[in-house]
Amino acid sequence: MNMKTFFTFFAVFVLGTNLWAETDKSETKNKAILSFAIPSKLNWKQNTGDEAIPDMQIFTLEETEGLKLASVQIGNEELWPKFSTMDKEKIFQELVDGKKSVHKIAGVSNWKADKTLNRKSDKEIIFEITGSYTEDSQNKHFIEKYYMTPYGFILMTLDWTAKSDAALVKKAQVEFKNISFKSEIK
Amino acid sequence: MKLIILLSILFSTLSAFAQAEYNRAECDSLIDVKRYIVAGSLDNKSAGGKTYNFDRIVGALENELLSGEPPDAKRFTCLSMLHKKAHEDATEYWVGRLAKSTCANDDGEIPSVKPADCDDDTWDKFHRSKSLIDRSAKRIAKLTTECVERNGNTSCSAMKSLKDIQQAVEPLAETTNMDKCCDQSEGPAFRVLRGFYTVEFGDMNDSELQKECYKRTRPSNKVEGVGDFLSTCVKSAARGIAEAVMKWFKTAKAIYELGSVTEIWRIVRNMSFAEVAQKIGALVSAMVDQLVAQLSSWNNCFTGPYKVDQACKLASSMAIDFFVGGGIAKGIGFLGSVLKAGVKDIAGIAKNLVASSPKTNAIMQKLKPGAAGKTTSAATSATTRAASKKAASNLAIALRPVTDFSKSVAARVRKLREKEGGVRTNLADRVEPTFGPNATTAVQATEAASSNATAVVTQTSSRVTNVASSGSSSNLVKLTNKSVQKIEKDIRAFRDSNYKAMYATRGTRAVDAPESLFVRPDRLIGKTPAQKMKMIEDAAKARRAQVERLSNTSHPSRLTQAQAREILDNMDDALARLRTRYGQSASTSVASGRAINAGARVGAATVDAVEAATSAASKQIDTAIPTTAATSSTASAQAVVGGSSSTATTAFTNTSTSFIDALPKVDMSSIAASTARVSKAVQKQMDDINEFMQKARANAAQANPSASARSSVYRNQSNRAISQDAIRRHGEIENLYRKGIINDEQAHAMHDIVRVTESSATGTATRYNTRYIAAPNTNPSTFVLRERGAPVSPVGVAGKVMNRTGNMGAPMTAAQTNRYSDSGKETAGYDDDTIAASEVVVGRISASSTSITKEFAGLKTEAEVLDHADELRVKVKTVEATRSATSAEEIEKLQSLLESINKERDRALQRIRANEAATAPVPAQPAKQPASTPVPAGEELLQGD
Repeated sequence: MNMKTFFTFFAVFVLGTNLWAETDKSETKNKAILSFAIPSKLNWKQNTGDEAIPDMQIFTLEETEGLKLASVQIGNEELWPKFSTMDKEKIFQELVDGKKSVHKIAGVSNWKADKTLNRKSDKEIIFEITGSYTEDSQNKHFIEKYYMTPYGFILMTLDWTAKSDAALVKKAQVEFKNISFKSEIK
Repeated sequence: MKLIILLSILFSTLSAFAQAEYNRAECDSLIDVKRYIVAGSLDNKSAGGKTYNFDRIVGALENELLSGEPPDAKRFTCLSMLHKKAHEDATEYWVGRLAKSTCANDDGEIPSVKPADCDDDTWDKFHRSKSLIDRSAKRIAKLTTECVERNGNTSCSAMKSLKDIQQAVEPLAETTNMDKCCDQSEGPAFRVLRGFYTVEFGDMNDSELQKECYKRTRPSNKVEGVGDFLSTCVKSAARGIAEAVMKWFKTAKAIYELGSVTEIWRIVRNMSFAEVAQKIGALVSAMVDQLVAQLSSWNNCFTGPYKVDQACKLASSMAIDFFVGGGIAKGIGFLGSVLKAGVKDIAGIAKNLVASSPKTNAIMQKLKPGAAGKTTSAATSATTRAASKKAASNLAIALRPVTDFSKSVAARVRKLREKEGGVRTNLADRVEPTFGPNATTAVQATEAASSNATAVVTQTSSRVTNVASSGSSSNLVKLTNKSVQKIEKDIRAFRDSNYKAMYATRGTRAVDAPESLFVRPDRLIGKTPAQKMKMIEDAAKARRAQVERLSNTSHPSRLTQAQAREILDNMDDALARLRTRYGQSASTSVASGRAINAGARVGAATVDAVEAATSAASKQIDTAIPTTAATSSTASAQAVVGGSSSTATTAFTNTSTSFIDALPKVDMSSIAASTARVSKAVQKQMDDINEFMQKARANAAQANPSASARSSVYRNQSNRAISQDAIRRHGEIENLYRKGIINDEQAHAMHDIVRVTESSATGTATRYNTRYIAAPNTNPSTFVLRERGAPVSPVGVAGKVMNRTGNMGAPMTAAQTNRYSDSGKETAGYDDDTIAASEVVVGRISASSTSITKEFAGLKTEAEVLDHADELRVKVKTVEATRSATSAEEIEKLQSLLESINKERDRALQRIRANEAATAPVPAQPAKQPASTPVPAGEELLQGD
């Protein structure tokens, strides 16, 4: 990726979920396309080739250690009714409970987080968690963004550690805050 | 000549091979052979000792290929083999008979013109048999080589699946145990692919998956090196992990689960890929070791890289199943253990995983040597190879085209004559010493094979033979035999078509009360229909068992197969009628599962169709009749009517017996095909029909005068002159009625339209009171039926008179006018545009003496002429019906106009026919079969089964 100029990488993914038009008479098969765009000046490098994992994108920076940007797109309609009807405290509590069920096994401790919820429209919600934890005696930080729609969602994460370059982390945080999401029905 | 001899040898070889390959031990459990044998038994080694129903076999093949389900290769093979055997038996029989006759020429062929010294019986029967056998062969050829479609399913796709299987099996079955590994029900490799390869092969049907299985078990598959193994395995493992995580994401139902997954995903993504690959790869490797050690027989199925891929993928997939199957928490816990474990601990984890997976346990149990009667010994392997080879060969033979009947017979007649040097004689001059009753039965049954319809005629004669042959009744079978004879007597009466036709005026126990064939009627009093039907079904089951026992005994005086079959068929008939009466579905039929079930289903469908049509008519939906192909789909019409219930025909007989059901069962195609000469048998069939029709008509006239009139219109048995196109239209209407698309009242109303638009009938046409008012509209091929509501009653008529005379009440509303009128004179049946358009057209064709001539001048086909004439007549009749004050003079003018239209129409038709005759290169045949001909063409019959 170009590291000096302002650049946007734009990922467009067709979710596995195929939506049918409301009327049975129409045989047009619609597809929900969820995408995100991030304006970035950093030299993100995506895992490719054998290291690539289907449906997941993981970006790293060579200049620093532990700074990682990742995304995954999932065609899951089940979760939309919950996100669209529950208040953010409840959402947060349930997410945290789920995460904590893993922590003991994974050796995570001192996990804490804060949350924000932005409702863009009736069909788009962005839920964000910011937090930190200790793993292997090392302090780690994260930001998670859940872009929820009736058709599925995009999960994006930014992770860094205490060893990561603070300036690059700050730039990455700013860029991460400015991610834009879009959903289209085609 | 050498070529001919070689061909004959080839035919013989092929036929003999095909015959030898029909394996009763394997096939009798897959197909109900009795269903396809009309008389005799497969046990009879004589070619003429059994009678096949070719059409049923072909119908079953059609169902196999067009059901929408993946075809069962074994059942397809068995049915094909049975057909080939039937074909071969018929060929052998006719070879024997023709070789000794003077009907075949020196080349063994049957000439197109009957030789003078050829006896009528042999000539007629051979041609009827040939017609039926060729027809079945043609249907199979069409089915297997073209894309026949039914309900969106095509035969070509099913055939492709079969050919794929055959191609995959044939070259390799000899050297591998592919068939065993890939068997759809037992094959371990197939089960592994179906059970664990859900991502790759989840969308495949069994046939496709089996093909994939064959690909993965070929012995030629090779692994290039160890590097390939590791790379493949690690990639598979990584994909397995990705699949696991994605599956969790996609299946998460609660936000709690989402939180768990996102957190485990965080752990995975924060490890380097190398770390993941190493740990997961080590896990898979350990798992493979465990699996291979325990599942060696299964592991031996896959070959080359597929063995590696399968083993690694299976291991990681098993982990996924373990994760998801045990819940997210369990899966995450397990993965957490893996990610933290050192390589040395991986083997232990793998062992636990393999041991704790229920799927693994299930497979291990099934694959253990000797489990479920399966062994993996070398001896079994050899047997399996032989079986695979045989299966492949059988399917290959089944997929071969059917040989040409005439050519096969001719070639083998030549061969037989050369071998035996027999003297040919006119068989009519002597009693055949070589071919006794069996041969005769076979000939008749070959006729019967064309359809169920022939069964009555042929079985009647065969029954005489069989009864005579079993006349030396033994006293060893006493009371049971007597009771069976009683049943037979009852059913014979029940079956007799003449008796049946007379029923409506006389009634009999067998027809009027079919339940009395099974139980005493007083036992049914007070029972619900369901209870009644259960009692009847139970009694029928016992009676059926009794008949079958008597027919299967080795006693010389046992019931013959033909007798037993007839009794059973008749019991089925009675049961079907009772099920219809008591509203039971065909699915409650007795265990034998005979063809009558299908008939009952068709009947039910017909009722639905009639109801739908009635509903449509009541909503004033046009019922369009195509103006071409007057008798198209006649075959399906027969099939439907044959199973129709009383709903469609109540107006005829007012009984639970379908009027059409009572028709003598005659093979119309064989009658139609016997153009050269009408044999006694065919003549008898035709006489039966005429006799039946006369009786039925008389009966119907007594029961329902309007129905009688409707029937007479169809057959054009009135004394009125009637045009060919009117007959055609009447024929089309009758076909709709026969198919059950319209009911008799609707048909009657439609016939009314044709009558009133037929000028020659105008003066004498009788309008009938029906539930429907028929109004001609601007499209001559469309009938508008309006439901009138309550039929006209004396009260209604009185009200009509009172209203029309004015002073005693309010004027009639339009609705009342419609309700009380069945006359075309009312304008309510026409919209303003129709009236205006009709006036314009009438004005146009009245303009000059040549106006009508010009109307037909540009038309080039008979259909166009007929349609345009219809259209013009409708316009004239519309004007006649809607002009408010039509004087006698105007009526006369309009009548004159109608006559002119007919006259010009006939002239135009003559012109077209003359042109066709002048341009036709070989005008040997009659120019065209009248479109109204009710007899279906042979090709049309091919469509039905």
